[in-house]
Amino acid sequence: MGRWTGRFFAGLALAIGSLAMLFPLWWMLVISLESPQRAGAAAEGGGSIAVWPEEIHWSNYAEALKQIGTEPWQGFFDALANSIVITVLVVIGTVLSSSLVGFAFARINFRGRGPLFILMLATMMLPAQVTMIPLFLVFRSMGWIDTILPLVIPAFFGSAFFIFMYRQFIAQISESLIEAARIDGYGMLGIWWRIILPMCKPVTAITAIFTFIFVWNDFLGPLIYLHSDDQSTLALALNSFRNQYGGLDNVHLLMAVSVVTMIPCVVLFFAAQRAFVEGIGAGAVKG
Amino acid sequence: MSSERTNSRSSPKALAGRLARAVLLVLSLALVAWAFARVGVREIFRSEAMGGKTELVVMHWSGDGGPAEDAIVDRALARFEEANPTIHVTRLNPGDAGSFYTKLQTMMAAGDPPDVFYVGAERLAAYADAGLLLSLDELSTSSSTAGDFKLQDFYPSTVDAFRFEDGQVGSGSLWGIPKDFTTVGFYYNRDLLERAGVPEPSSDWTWDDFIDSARAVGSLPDCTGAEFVSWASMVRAVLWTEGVDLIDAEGNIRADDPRVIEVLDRIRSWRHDEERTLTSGRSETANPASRFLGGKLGFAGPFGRWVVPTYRTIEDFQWDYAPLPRGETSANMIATVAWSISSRTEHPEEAWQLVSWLTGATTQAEQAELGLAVPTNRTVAEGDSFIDPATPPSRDRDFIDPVDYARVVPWSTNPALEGTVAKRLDQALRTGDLPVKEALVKASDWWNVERTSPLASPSLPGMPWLWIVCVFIIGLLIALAIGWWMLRRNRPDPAQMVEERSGWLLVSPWVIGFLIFMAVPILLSLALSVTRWSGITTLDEADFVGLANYSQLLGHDDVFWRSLEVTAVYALLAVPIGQIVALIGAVLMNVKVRGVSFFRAAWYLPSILAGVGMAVLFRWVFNAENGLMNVMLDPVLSPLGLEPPDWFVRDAEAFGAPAFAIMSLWLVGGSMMIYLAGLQNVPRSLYEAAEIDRAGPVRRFFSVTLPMISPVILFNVIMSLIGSFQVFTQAFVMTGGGPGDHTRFYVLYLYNQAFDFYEMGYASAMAWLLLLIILGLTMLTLRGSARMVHYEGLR
Repeated sequence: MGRWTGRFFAGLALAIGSLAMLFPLWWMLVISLESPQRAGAAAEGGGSIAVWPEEIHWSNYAEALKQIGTEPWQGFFDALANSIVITVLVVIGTVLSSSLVGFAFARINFRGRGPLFILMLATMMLPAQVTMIPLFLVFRSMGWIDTILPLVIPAFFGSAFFIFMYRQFIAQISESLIEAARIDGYGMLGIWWRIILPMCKPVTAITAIFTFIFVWNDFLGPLIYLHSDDQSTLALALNSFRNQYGGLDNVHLLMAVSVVTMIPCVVLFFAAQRAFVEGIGAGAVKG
Repeated sequence: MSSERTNSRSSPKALAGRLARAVLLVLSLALVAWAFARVGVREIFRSEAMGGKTELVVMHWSGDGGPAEDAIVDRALARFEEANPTIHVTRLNPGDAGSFYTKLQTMMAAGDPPDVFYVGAERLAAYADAGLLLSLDELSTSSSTAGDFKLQDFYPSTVDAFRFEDGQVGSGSLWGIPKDFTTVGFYYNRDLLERAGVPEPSSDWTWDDFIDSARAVGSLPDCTGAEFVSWASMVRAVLWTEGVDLIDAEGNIRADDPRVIEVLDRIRSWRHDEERTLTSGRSETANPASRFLGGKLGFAGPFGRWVVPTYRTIEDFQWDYAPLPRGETSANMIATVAWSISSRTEHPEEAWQLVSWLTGATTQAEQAELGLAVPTNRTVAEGDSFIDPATPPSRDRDFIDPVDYARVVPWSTNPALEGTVAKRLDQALRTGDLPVKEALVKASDWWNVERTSPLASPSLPGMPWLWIVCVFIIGLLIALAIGWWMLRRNRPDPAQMVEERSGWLLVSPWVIGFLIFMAVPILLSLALSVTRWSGITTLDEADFVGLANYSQLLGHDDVFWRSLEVTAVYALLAVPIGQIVALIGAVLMNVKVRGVSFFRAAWYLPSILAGVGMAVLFRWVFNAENGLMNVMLDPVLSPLGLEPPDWFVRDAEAFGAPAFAIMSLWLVGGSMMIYLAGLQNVPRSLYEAAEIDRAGPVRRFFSVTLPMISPVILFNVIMSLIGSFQVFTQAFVMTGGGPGDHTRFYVLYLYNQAFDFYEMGYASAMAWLLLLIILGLTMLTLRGSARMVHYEGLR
């Protein structure tokens, strides 16, 4: 089997997989552009699977976004701004704190490292539902309810998932690099900032993408901590919208709002993908 | 990839790409700056906006009324603020009733409930009993009552639904003012009835009339007679028309009453022994109420008034409404919602002013025009704003007249009863999985265990919080002392001390975060797991039950074991298949094929967008009749004489959890990206060396790639194992755990216990068992893989 046939079949398999991955999303897009009648029929499974919108109704989007929240457009703008602020802060906090702690777990010898690491792994396994009510009580005693603080501040204390990921990656960085930096007189913070963080670009890209997506789509957290309408995030607003416009006659509007809430994730992914590829391209992949 | 880049750096295409990236960067920076500015300005000037007014927080929902109901409440509040300039009202609307109660309960548990909020009649007993509501007995004669509010104008049976005293609903103190109500009946398609040659139902029609008409419509081509929902309250109302009830005065389920079984079996038989008399109970894509919209259904019900706004959008046919048919007697149920005041409000007078405003004649008249429900004020209900012959249904009086004999369906203060009865009725009547008698016996057995369990004992000791805090502090001190002593005992040499200090410094963010955001909450939840606590009262009212939660779970709770089974089946399928697909995808993408960045994006995209929208979408993909999955499977399976499964309905017992596992394949993008990053970190030199040794591609994969990325594989397997035991959103949105418990994933059941049944203690015990399960599985995986994982450079 020659190199070309191998590549052909790899490409074919990937193409089929891609089609399967994308078709449901395409359908969602189609529905969001349909007329109300056609959208309702397609969602109900009216006998056919919609592949192309009969007529394109861009106005669905304006109509849908306008109706988010209690005041026209303001609900959407507030939710968008809140989502951006929360997400940006959480991404920054998570990357900084998780890489720092991950570095310590991977590369620094200190007594108690093993037990602490196991403890950290264990925290990943606790379902969020367990700490939900107790956490609410903790944040309430701090007077943080109905502010973005309960959603943002914990990110600056590291996230077990990403600490583990950084630790796994940093463990595979060659020891000689770190030794060289040490000989050059860098302290641990210096090594982290100048050696580890730049080398961790791939995992930082993944951390940023994962965190962004998780926070952007997070629903339970905002639902518990944010009460006022003007504090609401896009996911929360989408849910209220879904609850208010859940009927079949509003499927096109619901899909339009869903598509809008998804756009930032899609854009970020395509943008970060380049950084991701370049981060690896510089060293590992030649030709 | 990089060769493409270097070759084309100066080409117009690359230039356009860089330009696009620059524009995108500027745009997103601008967006971020705008967002921070907007939020910053709002937060800084927040205190000025209030201006020394009394603040009332109001919470409501807008389920079936949708945006129209939202707008009406908003308008009424705006007029209230205009008339009372010293009061500022903050309005909260979490969406539908389910989200509303979740939020209300969380706020109540935290001691910070809204001042004024909706309470459905079915929840009144539980809330009033727990002391969460303010009695309105004195306030209703207060001087701050709105001018057009007169309690004597209300339909007495609707007001009585919100009276509660000594454990009995229906009399005594008043805890809420009903804002509106509805009775139930059947909506019918006038055109279809005419085509079938049957008369329109009278207001005094019988079940015989109903079924004759439904059969006649069902014999029309392509039509079905009726949609008959088997919701628990509706079924009880149907039983009332035959003079019996599912639950007797002592709260027992009447599983041995032959008349109850006879009436229920009649409904089952209409659906399952006849063709097209009742809808099959199979297709679940659409909400039952919306199936009527398609114009192929003779009757839909029993529904209340709430479907009217949706049905008014019907243009293709004429429709109308008839009350619940008569059996041996006339009966009907009242569904009603009140405005209540929190017992913790700081402004009871102002809150009452608002409640009487919101239930006064003017606001009721405004709400009546929406047609969503019947006004509770008799004058308004019988006036022009509600009775409007111009808009359908023309028979508005048929909603009002049954109020003379209708009543609220009484459920136990234990909300688990209604949920379990609903689930069993669903199996008996809708899907036909269980014979009626057996379903009732199962519900009854469960209920008897539930009621006689030590957990249900009315006199439990209080939770000794003071002792727990003392023990906790002493334990913490001992742990600190031991740690300090151990550090002192074997002090390393000074050079190592420096490294050790920086190690502690670097992990300190996580340690501090762990103590505040994890350790304390986890210990609190451990403490909760030995209590019975509703979550709607404050923590100091938790009762101590010892290990009763755990013994109940392991010894008596069939649903718990079923949920564990469903979750395990899912994990066994989703983890290996998902990881293999992700790894294959990553390996293929690591081959330099054309368009690899497109493929990578395509594979990753669905996992980015995983959320509620995705779940709704996949419910449709797995629909038995028109779903994408079965449309694809049918051509493959039908030559073999097989039929694709009805994933979430008929065949849910075998195919429910696997369907979720299949769906999880759309979400492998995350794992795949991690594999890809791992693959691209494998040094090229190793492959070159292998190639010199003449290793083929398969050999290279197994002797270079696999060992080099084995830590990544381990990581992904563990994470996906943990994730698979925490499936929630998909199950919640797509099936709600049904039919029966065939898709009730562990965390979904945990959620049900906490937020549907208010068993915070029981749910905490479940959470702790889940932790043990996950911990055990992870340890097994780590131990089993110890020899297979290769770490490069890990000390």
